Amino acid sequence: MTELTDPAAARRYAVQVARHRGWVVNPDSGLTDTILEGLVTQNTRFGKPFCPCRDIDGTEADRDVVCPCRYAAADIAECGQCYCGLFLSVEKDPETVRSIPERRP
Amino acid sequence: MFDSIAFHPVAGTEDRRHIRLLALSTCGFCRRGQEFLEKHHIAYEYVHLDTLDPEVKAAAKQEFKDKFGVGLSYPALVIDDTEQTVGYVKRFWEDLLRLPHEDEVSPGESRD
Repeated sequence: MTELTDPAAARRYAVQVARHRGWVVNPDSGLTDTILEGLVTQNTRFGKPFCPCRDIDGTEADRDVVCPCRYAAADIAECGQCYCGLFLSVEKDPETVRSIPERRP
Repeated sequence: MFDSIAFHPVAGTEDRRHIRLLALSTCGFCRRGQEFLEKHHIAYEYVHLDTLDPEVKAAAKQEFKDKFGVGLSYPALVIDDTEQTVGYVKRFWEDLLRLPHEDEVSPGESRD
């Protein structure tokens, strides 16, 4: 299990992912705090930090949406943000973050 | 619609239409949508589908798809059981709820 036991740990995880992938964590804490809490909840429920904006069962079939999800890179390249809005491109204006179309089949 | 779901009511002064929010408890855009409705004093009902029994949830997803011809994603706003929008895009919500547009810059739009 990824040790995301509280929002602070989830934030450290997100920062680490963003740094590694050349993204930034959305600085809009009004949105990001809910997402980070959601990641902790998903991790507690299912043992993995599944995307908190997707309806999942936590089975092997949902492996593609463990954060960062398999679609994040394409979404960030195209829309400047991932599906849930946690990760942004460096250029993305956080004020323009909103729901984007689901890329997951 | 959704007769097997116990929705949570939220009071508001604007209650001429029947507004339902289908949401996930973990989702940032769902929370933002709730804040939008409350900012505009709109009475609504919500449910967090991730907290439902899996069979009830599956039935609700199927009912939504059968009714509107699109898959359920979150948040979904359903008005009078006849109109819907999925995802939180403020401008779409303003249109559906017949509210004036606040200043908003959409992706790809210029601020000028």
